[in-house]
Amino acid sequence: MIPEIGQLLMITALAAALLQFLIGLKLFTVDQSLRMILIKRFTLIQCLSIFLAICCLGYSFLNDDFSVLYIALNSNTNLPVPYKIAAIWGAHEGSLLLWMFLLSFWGVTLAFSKKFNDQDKMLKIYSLSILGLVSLSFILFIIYTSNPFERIFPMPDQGRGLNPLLQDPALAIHPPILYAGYVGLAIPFALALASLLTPHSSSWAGIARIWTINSWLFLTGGIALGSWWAYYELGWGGWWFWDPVENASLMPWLVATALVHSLIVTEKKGLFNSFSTLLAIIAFSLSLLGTFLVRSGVLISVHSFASDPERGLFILMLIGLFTGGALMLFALKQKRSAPLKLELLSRESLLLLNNVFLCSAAGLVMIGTLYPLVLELVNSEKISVGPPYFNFVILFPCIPLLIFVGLAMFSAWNGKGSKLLLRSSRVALLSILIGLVVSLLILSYDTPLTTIGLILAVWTIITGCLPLIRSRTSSLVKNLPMALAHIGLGIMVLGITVTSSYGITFDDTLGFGQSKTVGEYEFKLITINDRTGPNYTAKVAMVEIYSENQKIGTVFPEKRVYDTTSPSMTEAGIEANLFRDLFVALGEDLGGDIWSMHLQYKPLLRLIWLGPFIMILGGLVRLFLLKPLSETANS
Amino acid sequence: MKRLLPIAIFLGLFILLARSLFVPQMDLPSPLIGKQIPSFSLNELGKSSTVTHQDLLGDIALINIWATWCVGCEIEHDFLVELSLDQDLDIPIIGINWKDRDDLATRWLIQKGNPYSKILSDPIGNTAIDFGVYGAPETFLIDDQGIIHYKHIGPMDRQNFEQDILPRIVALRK
Repeated sequence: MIPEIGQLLMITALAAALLQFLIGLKLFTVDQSLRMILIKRFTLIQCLSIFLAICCLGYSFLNDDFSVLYIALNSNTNLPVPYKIAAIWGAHEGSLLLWMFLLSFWGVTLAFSKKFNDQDKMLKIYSLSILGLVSLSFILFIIYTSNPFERIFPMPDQGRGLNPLLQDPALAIHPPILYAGYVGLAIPFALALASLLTPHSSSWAGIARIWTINSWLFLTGGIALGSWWAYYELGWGGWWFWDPVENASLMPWLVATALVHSLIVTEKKGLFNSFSTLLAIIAFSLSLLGTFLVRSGVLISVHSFASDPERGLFILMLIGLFTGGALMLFALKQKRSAPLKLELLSRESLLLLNNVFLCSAAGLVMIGTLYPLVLELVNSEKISVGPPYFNFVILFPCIPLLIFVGLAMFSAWNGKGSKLLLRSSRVALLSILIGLVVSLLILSYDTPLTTIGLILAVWTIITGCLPLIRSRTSSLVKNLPMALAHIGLGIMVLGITVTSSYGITFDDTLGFGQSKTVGEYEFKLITINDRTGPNYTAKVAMVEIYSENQKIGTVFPEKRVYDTTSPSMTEAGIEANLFRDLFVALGEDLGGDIWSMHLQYKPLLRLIWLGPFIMILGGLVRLFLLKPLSETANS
Repeated sequence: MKRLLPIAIFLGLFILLARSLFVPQMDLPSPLIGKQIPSFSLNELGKSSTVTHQDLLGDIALINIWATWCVGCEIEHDFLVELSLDQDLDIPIIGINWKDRDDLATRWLIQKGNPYSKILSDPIGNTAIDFGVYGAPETFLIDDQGIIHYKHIGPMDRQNFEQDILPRIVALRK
C-alpha cells in the first residue's frame, strides 16, 4: 500500500511541476500577482510531494518490504537502521529521487526568497517556470526509467543487502551533500535564462551569486568528503584517483568557482554579463553531463554503478533539451554589450583571467574524461586515460591561476597595473624566499615543481591574509569570506605539494612480531584477531607504531567480509595528526601468520581536507554573517 | 557568429556522446588487429617474477583483461574456467588483472577457480592502455608470433566463443 502512495505522490509532483512550468509561460492572461501566488504554491506542492514520496520509500525500507524491487536489491533485515535510511539513496533509483527532492527544495528556497525587488517579479516567475520544466523532465525520467516503487513478484524472503562500500558514515552522507551541490546549480541556470527573457532586469547576478555560493559550498564539502572516504575506505591510501565519477564532480566545481567570481563583477560593475550567463549554463550542463557519465555506462569506472543505455539516452535527451535550448536562447537573446576596455592588471581583468584558467582546467579534465570517446570516434580505438595525464596537464592552468589569485588581492577595480606590481613585489619576494628556505633547508630538495608548489602555497596564504591585516575592523567581516576561501586554497596546495613530494609508501609482508621501517617510523605487527560486526566478520590487526623507539600509537586496520556479497572491504588503520598521516591497510593472509600490508607515511596530508574546510567556512560566513550586514547597510 | 560558437561546440559534444551511447553494440574492429601485441613488463600476480611480451610468444593464446570490481568479469568467469578445463581445445588463457588489487584478485581466484595459465598484474593500467582496453572484460586472441587476430569486448560465453573465436583458433592451427 505505502509504495503505491509513493507512486501517487510522484504523479502529484509531476502534475505540480507541469503547472509550475505552464503558469510561467504567457499562455494565460493572468494577473501578475496571482501568477506569482500560484507558481509559489505549485513549487511548494511539488517539493512536499517528493519529500513525502521519499518518506514512503524510507518507511518501506525500515519495514523490510522486499516486495519493492529497489528495497530487495539494496537492503536486508540485518542492515543497521541508519544504513537502511542511507540505502534510500544507495542506488540509482533512490538517488535520483533524492536528486529530485533537492532540486525542488532549492526551487522552494528561490520561490520564497526575499532577495527579489518589485521590478524583478518576472525574473522570479520565469526562473521558477524554468525550474518547473527541469523538474518535470526529471520526474518523467524517474517514472519511466527508474521507478523506485516498482514491485516484484514473487516477493523474496530476504534482500540482497546494501553495497558494503556504502556502509560507512562518510559515504552515507556524501551523496546527499554532493547532489545538493549539483542540483543547486540549476538555480543560477534558471536565473540566467530568466534574465535573458527579462532584458530590463539587472539584479539576477546578485541573486544568482547567493545560490551559486550555496551549491559551491555543498560541492566543496561533497568532494572533500568523497576524497576522505576513498582515502580510508578503499585501502589504496590515495586521496584522488581521477576516476570519471570524481571528474564529473570536479568539473562543475571548477566552473561554479569561476561563476562565483564572474558574478561578483557582473553584480558590482555590470560587466561580463554574457560570460556569467554562459558560465551558469555550462555549470548546470556539467552537472547533467556528470549524471550522464555516471548513469549511462559509456565510461568505465571503479564506481561501476549499474548502468543502462536507455537511461543514458534519456539523460542525453535532457542535456540536449536544456543545454541546447539554453545556448540557443543565449545566442538569440543576449544583449549586445559595448566592446570592453579593461586595464591590463585591474581587478576586473585579473578575475576574468582567472576564470579563463578555471574553465581551461575544467576543459582539460573534460578532455581527459571524454578522450576515450573522441579517440573511438576518430579511429575506433578504445583507450583509457589515466592519472599521469591529469596530474601533468592540470598544472598548466593551475600554476598561473595561483599566481594571479595572489596578484588579484592587490588589485583595485579599474586599477592600474604599475601600482599593482609595485605593491605586490614585496610579498612576492617574501613568498619566494620562504618557499626556497623551506624547500631547500628545512625539507630536503625534491624537484623544481615541489619548490614552485611551496612558493605558490605560501604566496596564496599570505595574500589571502592581506585583506584581514590591512582592513579596518568594520570591513573585517566583509573581507573574511574571500580571505578564508583563498587561505583554504593555499593550505590545500601546500598539503598536495608536500604529500605528493615527500610521502613514502611500502607494500610488504609482515609476520607477527615483525616490524618495518617507513621513513622515521617503525610499524610493528603485533597480532591479528577475528571480530564479528552486526552484518560482517572481520580480521582485525593490531599494529604498533614507533618513532625513535618511542611508541606513538596503536592502529587496528580491518578487513571485513560482509555476509551478503563476496568482495572484502578494507578499513584502514590511521594514526594521524595535523602534520602527518601514518596509514596501515591489511592485505592478504599469506599463511603462517604472515600478512601482506600496505604502509604509508604522508606528511601534511590532513591539509588537503583542512583547506576545503576553511573554504567552506568562508562560504558560510558569506551566506550567514554577511547577509544581516548588507541588509542593515541598505536600510 | 560569435554567439553561435558555444552552441556549435555543444553540438559536437552532443553528437559524440550520442554516438558513444550506441558504440558498445557495434562491432568495431580494433586497430591492433593484425599487429604485434604491445610490449610490456609486468609482475606476475602474487609473485615477484616479471613477465614480458616476449614470454607470451610460442603459443596460440587468449589474453583476458579482467578485474574484481567488474561485473562483466564475474559473469564471464565460469565460462573461462570451463574453457580452461577443455582438454581437446587446450588453449592457454593469460589474464591481465587490470586496475585492481592483488589481494582482492587472489581471493577472487581462490573462491571462483583460476582459469589462467599466467596472471599479470597491471595495477595502474598502463599496459591496458597500450592494448587499447576500454573496459573490462576484453579478450584478445593472439597467435604464436604474438600477432593479435581478434578482440572480443564484453563477457564471453559459449555462444559468442563458438561463433567468433573458435573458428579463428581452428584456422590458426591449420
